[in-house]
Amino acid sequence: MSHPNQLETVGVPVAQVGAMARVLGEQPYPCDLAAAGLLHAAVLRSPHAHARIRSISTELAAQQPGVAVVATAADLDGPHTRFGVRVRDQPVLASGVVRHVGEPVAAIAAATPQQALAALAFIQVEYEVLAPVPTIAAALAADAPALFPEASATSLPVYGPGAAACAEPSPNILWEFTLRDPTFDAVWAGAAQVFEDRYSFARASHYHLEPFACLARWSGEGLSIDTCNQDPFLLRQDLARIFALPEHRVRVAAHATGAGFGAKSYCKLEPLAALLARLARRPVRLVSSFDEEMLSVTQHGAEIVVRTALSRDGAPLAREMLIDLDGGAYADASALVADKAGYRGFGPYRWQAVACRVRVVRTTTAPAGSYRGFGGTQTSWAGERQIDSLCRRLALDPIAWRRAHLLRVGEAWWPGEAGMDSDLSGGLAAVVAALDPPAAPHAARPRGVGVAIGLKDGGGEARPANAAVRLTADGTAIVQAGVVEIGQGATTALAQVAAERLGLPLDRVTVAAVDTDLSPHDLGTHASSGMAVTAAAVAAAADDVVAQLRALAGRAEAVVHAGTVEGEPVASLLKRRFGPYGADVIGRATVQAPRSEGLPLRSQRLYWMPSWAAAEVEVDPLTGQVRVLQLVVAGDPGTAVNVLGCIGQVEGAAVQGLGQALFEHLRVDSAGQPLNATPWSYRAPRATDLPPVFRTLILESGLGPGPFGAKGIGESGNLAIPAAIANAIEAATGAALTSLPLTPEAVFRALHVDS
Amino acid sequence: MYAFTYQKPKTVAEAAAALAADGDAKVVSGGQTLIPTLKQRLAAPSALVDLGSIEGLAGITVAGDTVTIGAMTKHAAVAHSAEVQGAIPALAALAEGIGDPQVRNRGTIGGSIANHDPAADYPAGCLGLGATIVTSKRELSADDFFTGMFSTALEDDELVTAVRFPKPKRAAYAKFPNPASRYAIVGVFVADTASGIRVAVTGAGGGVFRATELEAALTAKGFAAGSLDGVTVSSDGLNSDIHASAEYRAHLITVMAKRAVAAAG
Repeated sequence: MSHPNQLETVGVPVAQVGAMARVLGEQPYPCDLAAAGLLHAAVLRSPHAHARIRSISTELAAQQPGVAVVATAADLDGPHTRFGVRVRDQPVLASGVVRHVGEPVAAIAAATPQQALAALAFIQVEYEVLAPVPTIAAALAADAPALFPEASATSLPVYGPGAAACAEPSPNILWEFTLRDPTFDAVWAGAAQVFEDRYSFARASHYHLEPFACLARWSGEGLSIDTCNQDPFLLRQDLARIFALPEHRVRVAAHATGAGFGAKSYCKLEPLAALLARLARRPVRLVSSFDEEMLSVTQHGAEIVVRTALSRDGAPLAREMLIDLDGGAYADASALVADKAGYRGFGPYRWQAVACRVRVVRTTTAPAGSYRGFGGTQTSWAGERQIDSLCRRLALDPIAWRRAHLLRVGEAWWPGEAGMDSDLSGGLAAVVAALDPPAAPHAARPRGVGVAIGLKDGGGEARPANAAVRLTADGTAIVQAGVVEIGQGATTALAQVAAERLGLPLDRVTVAAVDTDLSPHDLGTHASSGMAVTAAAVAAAADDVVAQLRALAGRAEAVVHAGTVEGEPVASLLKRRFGPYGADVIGRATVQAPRSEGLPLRSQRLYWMPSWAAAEVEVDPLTGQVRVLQLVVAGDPGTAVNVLGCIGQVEGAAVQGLGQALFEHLRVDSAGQPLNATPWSYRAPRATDLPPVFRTLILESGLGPGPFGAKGIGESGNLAIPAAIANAIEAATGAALTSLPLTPEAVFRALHVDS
Repeated sequence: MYAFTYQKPKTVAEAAAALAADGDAKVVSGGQTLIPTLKQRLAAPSALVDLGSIEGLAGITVAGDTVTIGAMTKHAAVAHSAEVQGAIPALAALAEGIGDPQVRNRGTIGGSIANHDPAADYPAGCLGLGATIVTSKRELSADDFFTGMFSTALEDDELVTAVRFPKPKRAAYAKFPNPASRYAIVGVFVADTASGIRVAVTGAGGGVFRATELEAALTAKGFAAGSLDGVTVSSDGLNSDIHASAEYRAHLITVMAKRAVAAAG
């Protein structure tokens, strides 16, 4: 079943399962859930970027109408209650010190949301304001206040040759990751020309429309939480540790979410809701406002130095990336982002040797965490800007340079690492060819075309996944897997994969809701793994069902198709074998990519997820205003299981990239106060921002590791956009921009002031 | 949002009386600034006095060389009015550029000028055209009406009822919008009027103001974009915020003024 023409369900464009319910407002979200005796929570948040909590008085608040309970750190403290990936430094409620504006300090559960909100004003907190540390530079200054004088609980992964990491090498550095090819210095020494440039990446908000929301309840069985978290099994582990429960006493029901873009990964508000519910002995619903959401987790801002060595004829030799990520106040997923940013941040060229140093710098700003692209977002900006910049200095054509030096299929820049599995040069040619011919030059407003290639890998590190497929007595099927439907279309695509393998039409297959008590284990909706890893487990589980049906029919080669086994309806076969009520046939599978101990991260990249962008811009030199006239973006899903879903992912990500390029920037002032962390003042892209020509290409290499040759595609579409637009500006005007976003004033300054 | 009482008077006099009786009451017209402010809990008025049930406050009349727009007239109505488009096309175009369709179908001219947001569009139109603001008590020239950031000559119990615009010989508005809000980072309204050339600037300073150096250049050298070549505006006192620096705003004033003059023809 390898040739697409033989497939009946995979590759057929279908509307997403559940799309109509979402459009009609019938899709239930955790903020809609009710429970008998439900209480509503409100959170008191720090008004200061950095302060010591001298005292908290909750007596008055506890006496307010409707208030059931007021929680502070005193109700839940100790090292095991902190959370964070690899470095556990984040308390559920601020303990002694607040480190960013918006940090939860206390929380109230009351009979109504209004009562909870009103009672917040009666919590009295005495702060001693400490010096803010609002930027990377401030955190690294010699006299910077130490944000974490004491070491946190940490767990370091084992690295292979070439890579190393260190947790908390100094109080204001959370994590440092290094990678160095042993030949790097020798290759660098042989370079004919070297270039060093510095790039800034402005942090954006995830800006997910559904806020953080969960409903926690306790019973004799333990803790049960309904939430919009995309990592239910990882969350179960965190909750079990924080509340000292065995994992089977913690149930997480992960609902289909109203978007996340990474924000809903790992622990968020769930422990706080659980704490309130435990104290109140009643169910508690905690729903953040959009303003609170924007202060809870952000993308990483970054300062990136790119050093590139070329041969005399301009061929790539070596690249070194020195990356400082603004991790904000707490770890969240920063350590993971750092490793990934460094390991794959070099750009898809034929480097002979690479090296990097990535530091996560702690600041008194909102914690930074997972964001679509996971480090590739930042490095694709810096690396691809420098390619154009150095080509211009060498009077080389940036498109021709790329096509000459891109990795070919099968090639890698690190010995033994997975080879490129997309046609990079073909993709670049495709996006350029998809541009309309440039319009006649405009005398007063120069125009230019720029391209860029975004790069990250997907599928995680030797990641395991389980799945089950249950064939019911009437021959229909239920897929059970741990991927959360976060708008990416996983439900639809997993159903398509199972339907294809079972020989069933799509409407006879459903995908079960995710519940840690019921669903097979999965590491979470991360690393664009749904189609590459979990789908492989689903396909294998469906194959297991088919094998069991053949065994029941007594024929190893029996044809299983359209609800029949060798022509006999499945329902008939199951009744014949199991009696008048039939029985479910349950197929199971576990998959895991192998370890490769000799590689720096001890596993090969499961697949590469490149994206290509070409942009044509027009610049108004008198104002610096940039108009994107054309934008073409492409991604490679390996095999498009549902091409409509692929287009949605690439197109949506591209619009996110457009916002990142032109205006998105969460800003804080010198005191660490957010300047635009509200939807009222923050700028996210709108339909009216779309360029007049906006095209999405789905380029199927067929080379993915997932079933039918599928790869993930969800995190690719945004990566190349900022660099492509900045490269187009440089092509149009010569202005070499090095900071995002590309605001009119920044472009104006680059054109008139800085030069 | 904090709790407040809600009043819906039937006449201007009742509304004024309600305001006079309660110093912490606020007027709500289209609510495009007030409601978000309440939602963010940045204001806690004791009462809202809703003008929505007062008859006769909305509407557009053109008589001779004067366009009169009632205080409760929505931006969309001004933008789409054939009479305004015919008499003062620059004013219709200004209204069409305010916010987004939702804002234009709720927001009113009276609310906009009474609020006097330093980046709002209508104050530039009023000042640029030399409009007369009609209130429940008197008539004020736009030059006297706008007194500073979020402040006007209105007394606590005084309501805008209408704005009278004299038809100019030619006029145009050029705006460099804040990409988030569509408010003006800099907006410049130029008008060649019976009483001289007027240039009103919004978005750049602490309130709408007339750019006298540009008016002088246009008056001396003629109403043409080229007359502003080399004329610069000082950045002293201009806004510097996350959207733009004072220097950049000063530069944009001249650029936008030239574009407005060119558009006015």
